[in-house]
Amino acid sequence: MADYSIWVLDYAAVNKFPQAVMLYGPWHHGIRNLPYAYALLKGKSEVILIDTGYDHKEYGKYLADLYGVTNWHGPEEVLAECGVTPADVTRVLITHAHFDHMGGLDLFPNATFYIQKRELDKWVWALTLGPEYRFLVGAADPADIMKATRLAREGRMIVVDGDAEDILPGIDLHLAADTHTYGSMYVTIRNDGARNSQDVWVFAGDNIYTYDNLTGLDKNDPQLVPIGLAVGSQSNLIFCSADMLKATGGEVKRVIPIHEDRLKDTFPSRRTKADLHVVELALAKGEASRVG
Amino acid sequence: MSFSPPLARYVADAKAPHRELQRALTQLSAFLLKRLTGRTGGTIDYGPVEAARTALSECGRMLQHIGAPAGAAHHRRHLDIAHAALCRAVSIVLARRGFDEDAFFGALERAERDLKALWRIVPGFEPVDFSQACCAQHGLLVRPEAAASPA
Ligand SMILES: [Zn+2]
Repeated sequence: MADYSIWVLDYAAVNKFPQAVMLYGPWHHGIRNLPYAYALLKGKSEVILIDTGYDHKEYGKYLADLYGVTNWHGPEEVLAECGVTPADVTRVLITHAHFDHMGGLDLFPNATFYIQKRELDKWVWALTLGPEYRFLVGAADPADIMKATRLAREGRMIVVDGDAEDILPGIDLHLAADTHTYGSMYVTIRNDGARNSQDVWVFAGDNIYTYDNLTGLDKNDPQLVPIGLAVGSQSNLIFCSADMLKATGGEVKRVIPIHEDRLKDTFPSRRTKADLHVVELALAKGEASRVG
Repeated sequence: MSFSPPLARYVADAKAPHRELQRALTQLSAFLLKRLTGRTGGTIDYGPVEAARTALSECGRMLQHIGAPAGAAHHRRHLDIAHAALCRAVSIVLARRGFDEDAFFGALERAERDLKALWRIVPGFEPVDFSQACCAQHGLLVRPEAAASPA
């Protein structure tokens, strides 16, 4: 029986996302839908989020108009689909400092947050470089540093330096340095609690955008293909992908790309009234299905 | 939106000091964040404070040469208040007596409020630029007219 119930919840989308950004190479292969999402875990007396989403009320309309983000819904509404409120969330694991993953730092009043030290340090360093280097901090919102500082003053921001095992029972954090971002982090969940687990889930952050990053587009001749947008190196992305795949014993579908539009077809899922999706990866003992 | 020529000039001139203020706020906030989350006993990294100080003196120099035409006075006042608050934060760090974290963070929050107010008063002072963001539909797809041609 699983220790944690696990759901992926989308909260917005970019409908016309260039495929070449998701997967290095196919330059003229058009666009895909790119959901914005976070993961919810429930179990062991914890309610855990992997990433926060962002707060639309600050400059959501600006984002929507300029960058094509549509159908945003706040965590109150999104988490309610699984019977959870933002105030119930006890921990948030931040995979990287991009606005759609970290911009909701102020939305979970009782949570403690975890982020990699390298992600913060190198981000701050890159911001000193001047506007001509802004590619390096492209999707990061400087306002999130103030939010993080506010949390740190309340003792709710934990900075993790490298890999950390059992940060919560069965949950490990892994530094993926110089990949999608300088200090990206992926999360493994050993959902049977065993050290040599047979029930591993990996939350990849944006180190992969789609399952195709793990297989390539030719299923008969699989290969690792990096995403099309990184501040680190393609080599690091490929070796990180290999590590994540190894953690699941080679099972591709257990390495979760949070922006993958096909999650809803790969696992049991339900479309909500708001045209969002609840994707159910695992159910802990005593937990009712949210997609049935 | 079209501006009167003096206002258009103000908007163009005020962008650089605005950027320096944003940068100073980020650096000072990062200084405190590192201090709060670093290992106890480690040396304090004053690099971000130095970076903020440089940004603020650059900003102050630029602000001296920018007038506020009709329609820009409100905007300009927020810029000045943010600048003053951030300068206060720097002097709090550099004060010989112990570091007053509450006063320091209070100054940052003051500047944060004023900087946030700016883009609601005059467009063009958005607090973020996600034109290179990985997860957004890229700006140039939405705004092809903004594409640069090589010099
Ligand atoms: Zn990202």
